[in-house]
Amino acid sequence: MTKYKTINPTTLDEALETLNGCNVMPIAGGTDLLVKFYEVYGKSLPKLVVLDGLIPLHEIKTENDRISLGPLVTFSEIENSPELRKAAPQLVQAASVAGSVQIRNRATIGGNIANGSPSGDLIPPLYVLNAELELSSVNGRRSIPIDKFFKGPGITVLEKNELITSISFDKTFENGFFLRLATRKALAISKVSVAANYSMQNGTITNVRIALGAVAPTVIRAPRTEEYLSGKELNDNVLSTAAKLIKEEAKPISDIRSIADYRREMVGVLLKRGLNGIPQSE
Amino acid sequence: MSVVGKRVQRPESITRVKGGGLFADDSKYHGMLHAAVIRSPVARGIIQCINTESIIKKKGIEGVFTCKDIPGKNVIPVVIDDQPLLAERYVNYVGEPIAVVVAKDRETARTVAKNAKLKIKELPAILDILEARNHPDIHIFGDDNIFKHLKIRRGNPSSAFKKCDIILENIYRTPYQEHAYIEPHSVTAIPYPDGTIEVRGCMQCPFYVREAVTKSLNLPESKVRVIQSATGGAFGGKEDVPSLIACQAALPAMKLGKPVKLTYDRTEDMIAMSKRHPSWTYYKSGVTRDGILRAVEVEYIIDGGAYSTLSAVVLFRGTVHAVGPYRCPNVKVDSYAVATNKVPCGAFRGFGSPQVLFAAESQMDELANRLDMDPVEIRRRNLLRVGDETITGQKLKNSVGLEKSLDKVIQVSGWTPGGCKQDGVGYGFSTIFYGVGLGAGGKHMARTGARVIVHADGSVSFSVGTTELGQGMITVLSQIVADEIGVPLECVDMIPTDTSRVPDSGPTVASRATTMSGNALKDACTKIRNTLRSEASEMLGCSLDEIDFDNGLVSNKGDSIPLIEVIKSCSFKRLSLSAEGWHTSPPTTFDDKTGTGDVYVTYAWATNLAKVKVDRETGEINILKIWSAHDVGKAINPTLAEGQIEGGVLQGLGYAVMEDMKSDSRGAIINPEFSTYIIPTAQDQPEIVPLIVEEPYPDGPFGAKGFGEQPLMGIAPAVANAVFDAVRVRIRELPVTPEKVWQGLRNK
Repeated sequence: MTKYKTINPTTLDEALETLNGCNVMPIAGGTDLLVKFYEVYGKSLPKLVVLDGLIPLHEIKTENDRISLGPLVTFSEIENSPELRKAAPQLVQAASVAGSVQIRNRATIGGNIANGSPSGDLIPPLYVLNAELELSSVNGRRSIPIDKFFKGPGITVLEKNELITSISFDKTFENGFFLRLATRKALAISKVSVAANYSMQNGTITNVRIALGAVAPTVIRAPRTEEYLSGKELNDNVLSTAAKLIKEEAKPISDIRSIADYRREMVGVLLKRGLNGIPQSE
Repeated sequence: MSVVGKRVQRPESITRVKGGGLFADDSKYHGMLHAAVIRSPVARGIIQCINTESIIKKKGIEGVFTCKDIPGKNVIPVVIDDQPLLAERYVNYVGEPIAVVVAKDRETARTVAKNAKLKIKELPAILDILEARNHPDIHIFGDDNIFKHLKIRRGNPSSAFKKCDIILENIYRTPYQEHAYIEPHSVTAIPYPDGTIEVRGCMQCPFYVREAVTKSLNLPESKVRVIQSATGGAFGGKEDVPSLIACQAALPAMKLGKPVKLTYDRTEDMIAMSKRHPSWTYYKSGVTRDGILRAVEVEYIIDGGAYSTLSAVVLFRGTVHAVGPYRCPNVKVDSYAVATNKVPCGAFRGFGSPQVLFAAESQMDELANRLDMDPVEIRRRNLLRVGDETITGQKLKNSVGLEKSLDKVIQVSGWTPGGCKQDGVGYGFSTIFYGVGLGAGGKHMARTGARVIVHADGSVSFSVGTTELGQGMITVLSQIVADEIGVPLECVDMIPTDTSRVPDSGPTVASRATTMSGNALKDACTKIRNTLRSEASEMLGCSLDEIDFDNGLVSNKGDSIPLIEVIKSCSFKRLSLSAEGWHTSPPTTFDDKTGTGDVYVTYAWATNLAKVKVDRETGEINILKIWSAHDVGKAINPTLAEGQIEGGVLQGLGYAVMEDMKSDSRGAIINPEFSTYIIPTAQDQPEIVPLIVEEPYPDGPFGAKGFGEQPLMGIAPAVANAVFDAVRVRIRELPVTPEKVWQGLRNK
């Protein structure tokens, strides 16, 4: 790293101006980018635009019932935010199981989104929180719902000269969870993950949103299961039917981390566990 | 004060934790160049053209070397000389070295090597061991693709099976295991004006490296000096392989007259370096209703990859350990090391035994289950005791602490047969053994040298031919020297292992460093002590046998003088306080036709107990606790012995439940990175209870036996047995993953 000259903007305008140039690459925590840097970009290494100096992009802001996170907020900051613990429990749970302490100290929410992996742990929670992304470039700003951001594994709508400048969602004082399975207890990429957000009113479940990670080319919602659950009492029968339905909504593959049948089945298991309030297994 | 048997701290520990230590890649030399290796992209093919001229013209390139440039033999000497240093006409696996590129800087060398254009005509490859064995058309090795076939014939299994009440026949499979040493391979070769080549690098076996460099460069042994640098883990992965890497650096260093460094990056290291052999085992065992093992038949096949390397001796250890530590009068073992068009496999902690012990110990558990007998009882009825014979007919004369290790585990864990437990919780045992040292498979190398010098100021230096790999050898040997000379431990230092200091001492493998170098040092120290004794007897005016050495003092009854005064007096009189020590192992034998013989000088013994909790819905296995008791003869340093147990157990757990290296349909490793090849982290370490049993081995230093490999060897079957105990699902293919357990639960 030290051998390569980096560009270190201190204002957003400066950063966007720089990113409008040729062969440049923004870097936040670098926990994904640097691992593949030489392999992917070895032939003509891009100049790295270090975003760390853009102080406002590190902030967690609350306005009324809306929370907005700067893209440089780290997993550790999410994990340790008392505000988010109440307002976005599924996001906090996801942030606390990803990577290792060292990685969580570096890795950022913006990086996790921009990297576009279907197993990115913060993405399913952001789906169920109906998060909005603000994308900025020298040409201006646009806003896009998170579920319109991903096109495929590692492929997003982010233009080369664009930065994610904010991730915002309404505070939820409702129920939420994030559960996942992985090969080991730390430093592991999810085999399958389930996030949900819902309210309980008079014993029935409403406003239910469910998202699945690592079981399709992008994170996906499970609309049929959501619709089925809506207005139901959470008893064993309902949970079993929901688990069956959600298995059909998953489109997993077999790869180095797991096999398709297992992933499909586990989506149902994790949904039931989450709705039953069973915490992430150690 | 004696330090043998004491928990003295390993001096390197604090340095290492702070990130200190001079490792192979840390050293720089004036004018040093960097090498990188051009490798085969295909599993099998004919090399049609290597365009060296276009490579040499590239900016920053100082040279490119192929097999044509090798002045000596193009071979890596291990057991059978079939592996070239650089490929000639054929390539036989993805990653096989074809040429070495040398540049002023590492990036240039690596980039040019990676992008080098080769013309290779691809040929059909063979990747599966069962297909490869006796393949009619494709011959990677000989006519049958069999590197080695070994057999054991004992009693009459076929008639014995007829008298058995229960017979179990099963197939077991195990995958690759990657050593995952912290430090990837690295070596620097430095040419001197007198024609000497000095090689420095991380390695287990400097004398192997010396032999390889002398043969390939056509130099006398006196002109090649090999020095081990601080080595960041080895586990067998730095046994034979550094020979290859050293030659790849030494060849250009000699040709260009400049130091050349060659360091592999992690992915390259994982693609092209040795691993634990994948295996296929057919296992048939029979018992009578009383739980006595009557007959065992085993067919054991290991995947050697494209070249034989150490496969023949890996197979040897697996064959001898095939039945586990039990009496069995009727045994038939046929084992094969088979060639395939994949990366050559080699040494890995346990050396061919963990694979077959996984089968043997799973079988034992299943037999107990079928007999409705508890897993401890069936073992107790069959385990080896003093006076028993192993399956090779070796009569055990002493130092058999197997039952003691079993008792210790039961006592400490509080395990009882049929004890009540939570749903999904299970316990699994394994009892295993380990033939200490090279045994009959490597007896020509079963000797080692040492040199000890007591300086005039009372400090002591020693040299040995075995190496420190993180196991704590320096500390253990220093403890032995301190006690043998009678000086405090702080006065003793080891000189980094260097082939110019001691005669060929064989490799640092087979858990042999403590016993072999320990005995050679004792031999050297005795000679020095005799000089000190005779000097002291003059100074004290008493006879030789009346003198005691203790705690830095030399005494005769009430009369004593400091040892340092005796040393000074020797120095003043110009007496030599330097001596060479030598040790050769007691004889070992193995008859190839019958598989009988006194195969190893002695055996270490162990019992493991795993407690697991299996999630019935997800199949996830939570390892709750491992008890692991080992008969080590004598723990020279109990803390380091426990460290070996803890590390081995964790490495064994990785093998048991998560490590899963795979190759694709073209024979290339598909997960050569730590993001996809998953090993345990500190978070995955369960509570491990290391237990030490000491049944002294009379020919070992202070009664010690080697056992460094043993802690890994029996963990996989203990876990598989615990999973069965928990949810009644039997997994016969490692690793025992949640996916397999879940499938097993679903199919019930």
